[in-house]
Amino acid sequence: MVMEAPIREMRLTMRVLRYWRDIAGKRPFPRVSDLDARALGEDWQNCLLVKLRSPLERSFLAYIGSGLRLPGGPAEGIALAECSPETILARATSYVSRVLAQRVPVSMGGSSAQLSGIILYRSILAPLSEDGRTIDTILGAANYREVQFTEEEHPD
Amino acid sequence: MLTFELRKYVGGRWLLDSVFDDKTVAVAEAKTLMERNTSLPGVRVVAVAEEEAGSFREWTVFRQMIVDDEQALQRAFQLRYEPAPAPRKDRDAELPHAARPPRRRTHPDWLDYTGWGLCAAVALGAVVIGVVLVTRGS
Repeated sequence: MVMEAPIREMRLTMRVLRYWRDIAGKRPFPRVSDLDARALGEDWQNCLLVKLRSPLERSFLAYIGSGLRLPGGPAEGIALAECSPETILARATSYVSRVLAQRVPVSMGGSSAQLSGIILYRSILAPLSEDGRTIDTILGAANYREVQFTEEEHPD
Repeated sequence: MLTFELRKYVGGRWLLDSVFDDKTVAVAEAKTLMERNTSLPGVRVVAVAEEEAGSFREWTVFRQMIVDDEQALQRAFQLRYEPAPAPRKDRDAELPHAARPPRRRTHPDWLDYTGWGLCAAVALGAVVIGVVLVTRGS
C-alpha cells in the first residue's frame, strides 16, 4: 500500500499560520514559550518576534530570522520605529497595530522598495500572550523576492 | 483598502478568525480550516472595503457550512447547547387530593338542586303517562 504524503502548503505565511493555530489549540493566543523553532524548521529563518511596549513605537524586534536580515541591517533589539522603511522588516511589521486592534492573525503582502530594488513580499503577524488576554508579543513571518520591472511592463 | 476577513461560526455566532489582503488566500484558508476542524459548523470570507469618511462596506465572497441554512444551524445549536424549557405541568395534579385547592364554581348552588328537581319531575311525569296509557289500553 502506498502512503500518500500530506501536501505541503506552498505559502510560508499559511504554514506559519497553521503552526500558530496548532500551538494555540483552543486558546485565543499561544504563549511565546509554546514556540518551538525546530517544529517550524526552515521557516523559522523567515520569522521574527516583536516584543510589545507602550507606546507602540518602543516595541522592539526580539528575534530576526536570518532570511530577513539585510547586510548591515538592523539587529535584534532595534525598536520598530527605527527600522528603515525601505526594508522587509519595516513592511512586515507595519501593521502591528492592526493585529492589536483585531486580536487575530493578519496577513499582508504587496510590493515595496528595498535597498536598490523592488520586492514582492508576503507577510503575516500573529498575536501571542502569556496570560491569554494581553497580547505581549507578535510572531511574524515574511518572505520576498526581488523583481525586475522592464519599461514594457511599466511604461509609466 | 480592501481586506478579506475569515470568520468562523462558533457558539452560535460569527467570530473573526484572521485577516488577509488576498481573496484567494483567504478562501483557501477558509476551506482548509473547515477540513482540519471537523467540529467547525461553518466559515465565511467577508470582503471589507474601507471607504471615505471612515465607513466600511462589507459583503460575503465565500461561505461554507455543514448545514446550508444558517437558521437551521442556529436551531441545531440551540437544541444542542440550550436546554428547552421543561413542559408545563399541572401543579394541582402533583398535590395530594386533600391539599388541592377548591375548584372555583361557575354557577350558584341552587341551580344544581333545581336541575335535579326538574329531571325528577319529567321522569315522574313520563312514568305516570306511561301507566295511564297502559291501563287505558287494557
